[in-house]
Amino acid sequence: MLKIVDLSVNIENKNILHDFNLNINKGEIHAIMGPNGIGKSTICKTIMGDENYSITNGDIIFDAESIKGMSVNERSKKGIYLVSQNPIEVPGVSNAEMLRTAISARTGKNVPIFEFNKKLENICDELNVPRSFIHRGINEGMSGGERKKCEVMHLWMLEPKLIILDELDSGLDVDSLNIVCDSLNKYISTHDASVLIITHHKLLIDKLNVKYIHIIKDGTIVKSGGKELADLIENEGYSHISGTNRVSDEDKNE
Amino acid sequence: MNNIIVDNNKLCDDNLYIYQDIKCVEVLGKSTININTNITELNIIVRKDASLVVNYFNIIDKLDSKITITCEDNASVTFNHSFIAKDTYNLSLITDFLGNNAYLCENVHGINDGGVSNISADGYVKNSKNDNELLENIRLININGGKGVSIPNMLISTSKVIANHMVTISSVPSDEIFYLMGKGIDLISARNLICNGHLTKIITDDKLLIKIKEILKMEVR
Repeated sequence: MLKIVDLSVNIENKNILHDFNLNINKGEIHAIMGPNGIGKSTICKTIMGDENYSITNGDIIFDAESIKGMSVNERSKKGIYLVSQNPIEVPGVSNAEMLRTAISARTGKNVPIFEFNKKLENICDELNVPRSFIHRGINEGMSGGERKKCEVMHLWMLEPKLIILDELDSGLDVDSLNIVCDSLNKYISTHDASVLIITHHKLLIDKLNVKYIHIIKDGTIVKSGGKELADLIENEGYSHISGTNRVSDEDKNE
Repeated sequence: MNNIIVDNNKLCDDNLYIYQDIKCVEVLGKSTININTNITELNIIVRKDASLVVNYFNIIDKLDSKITITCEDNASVTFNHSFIAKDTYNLSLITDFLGNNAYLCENVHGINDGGVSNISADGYVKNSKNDNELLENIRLININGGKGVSIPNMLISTSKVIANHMVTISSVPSDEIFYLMGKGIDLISARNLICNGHLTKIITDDKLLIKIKEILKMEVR
């Protein structure tokens, strides 16, 4: 589904990532862990096509097609969805208005209002979010937890294939985290979605049943493994992590 | 609560007293004025203990406009003005506190769509007047080569006042563009959503909001 090959990324002429390789197949849930300021959010924004980040080498392939030259909205329409660490406000633009525009852009048709509203209301109820959020400005005046829930609400409406979660647990209390994770797990299983999670915490890895963990250090993945890696980090931190465990040439040629 | 639509410069309502051919409005009690036409000159006097909300929207080609708001004791005024400037819009907003304990908040949200807006905000609080509050929030977005200028001019002669002037003049926020495009919305549609939201956000009257949204749908940018 997603294949990142020998990627190097700069921001303001400063190299953040180099020789970055990652394979995510359909239905797989991967996590990237690493110290603060190492470039984890860079990965998310580069995949999404943020123009502030420039790819100086390598490629990003999604569904067997290079997306390097695609605009942000084209990548989204292909099925990539990003939940940022701190979702911003968009004052004056309601969730409903935005979603209708986005869905119409995907389908090329007008959105049937009754079904649209019904679906949105059901999602709000499941996420324990007031229905009034539907017609409120995007994330306007909302707490961190409410913003993350709204992003998950959008996700259900837009039905992406690849979900990128940049520190989802940041700003979420325990109850909100449980609600959001339950909703995400339901979406992942019903839609066979792939997930890339950026996190510091083993809790999220457990809640979202992450199978594949990658440790990033010095701008590249230095170690990959299963959940045991998360236990190792939890107990010993990142300083002990060393060595290379890059994607093999065989994997790259698939 | 009185709701008045100003259309072709005609104001009519039971509880407002009109002076000098609609150039002056005197407000008693609790009122709302909704304006969807060009104003060249308007004096609003808000009497003691009265409260007023003004919602004013228009698409402007060329206009010089002067709006004066005068507040007596305990008056409360919220002035919400959103506009699209296609050419040159010179707006002079003058506020004068004649009494004590009055509140005036001016919210101006504009889109300079190839045009230029010059907003001067003059606020006066005299020596003998106390406990008044003046808030000026001016936010301008420039698109298609538009430009905006805002000049604050507060003359405050007392220490017992809260006066705040905030101005933001920018292009369409790039982080909002990235966010909306990340949902699958193309650049032009994202920009339109943000601009339309910027204009409608401060308007509090539902009927005027519906009218504004109809007008904005017809705007091609």
